[in-house]
Amino acid sequence: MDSVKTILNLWQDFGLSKINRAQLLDGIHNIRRLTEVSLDINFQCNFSCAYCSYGFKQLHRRELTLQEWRAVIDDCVDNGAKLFALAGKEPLINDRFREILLYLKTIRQNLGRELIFGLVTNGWYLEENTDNLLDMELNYIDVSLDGHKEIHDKNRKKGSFDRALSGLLLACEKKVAKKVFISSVLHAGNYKDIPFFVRDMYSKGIKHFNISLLYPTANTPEHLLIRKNEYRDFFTTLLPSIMGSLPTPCDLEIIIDVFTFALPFLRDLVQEQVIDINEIYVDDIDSLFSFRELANGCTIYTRFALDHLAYGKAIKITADGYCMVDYEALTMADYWRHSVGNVLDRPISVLYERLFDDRSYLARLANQVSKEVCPKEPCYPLCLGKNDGCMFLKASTKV
Amino acid sequence: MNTKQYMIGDMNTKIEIRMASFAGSKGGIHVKSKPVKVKVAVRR
Repeated sequence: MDSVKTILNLWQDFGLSKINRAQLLDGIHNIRRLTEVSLDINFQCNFSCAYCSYGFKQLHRRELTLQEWRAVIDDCVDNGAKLFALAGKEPLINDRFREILLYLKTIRQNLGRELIFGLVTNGWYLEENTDNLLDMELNYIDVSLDGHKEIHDKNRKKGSFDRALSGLLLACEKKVAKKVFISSVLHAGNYKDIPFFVRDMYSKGIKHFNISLLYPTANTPEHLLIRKNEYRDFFTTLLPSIMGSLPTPCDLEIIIDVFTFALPFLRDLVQEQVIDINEIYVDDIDSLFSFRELANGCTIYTRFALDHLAYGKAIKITADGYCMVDYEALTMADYWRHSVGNVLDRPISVLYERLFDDRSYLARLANQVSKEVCPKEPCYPLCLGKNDGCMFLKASTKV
Repeated sequence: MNTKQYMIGDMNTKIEIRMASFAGSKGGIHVKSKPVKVKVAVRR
């Protein structure tokens, strides 16, 4: 969390012209360390979700071997990685996950420091794999369920709700992970249902929920895009009212992931006081979040991936070894062109360095933070440049 | 499509802010002790 504070100060100094762009980039470069690694261990998925953000369905490219994955994991750990997520496409579709998880478990036993790992699954193959996961010492498992059966099956796969729920409940019963999450994509078609869905799942013993806002791509159906007023209703009224009606004590943990894809939208939420930027915290892996605890004990977190501070924190490695920092790259069919290179060609340290070259995203972001493009007196480190108005005008004067 | 009104799909802006965290809960919020508050913005 010290690195987050330092990065904040660097952006402020840059905005106040105390340091130049090169010093800003060098400063962030020096302090930022790789923290999270998301692994796509295969190119296969048996679902065809309406809002899948991948730019490809199934590829027949050469996938990394187990030996190659081991070397990559070693390399990431040596470079400071604290968290590994097996996140794609569907980790449980073949046996590869077992070997990789076993390796992560071994690494952790020998590492002498904390190492978090888990996986994200559509749940289709979960029930038959619970025994395989039992001895993996998973920190967490995420099972994708987007609402009650009708809503979930409509956008995911027919019959998938019942199957995923069976696996989920068995995973809970057998305690295959320290935390078993239901992960939901929030969209215009389910935001009214999600609070009731959470309530009903809680009654079945599920205590952890992760709700991610739909990530739009060119292929996302328009009717699923959630509008600002819909999100406001969900966040300020629907969710807290239903969760607040649960009996005391309530040990529900709900995390809402707010992507920074549309910062103008985020700014609106701040201006409307849906989000209070003066109440933002940082956790042990540098995630920024706010939270509120309802009277019955239910905790609702909002987690932000604020660009400047998240930069260089997480990387994705595809099944064929391409490394990228930008989620947007995976929405492209030619994702490899948007990567910083392949782990088979270069060590992680070299690929990571490429994130910080002058052509990088961060440099473009720095270019936006300038008095020339801001219609008003700019604020730092989160000046939004060209937009009318600014979400931070009311922010306090010192870090 | 008037994307400006939508949650994340604000394609009308030219700002290349398109980075997001990768999928998954990351195991939740990791806080061993009392969370530390940070101020994410300042005004000159």
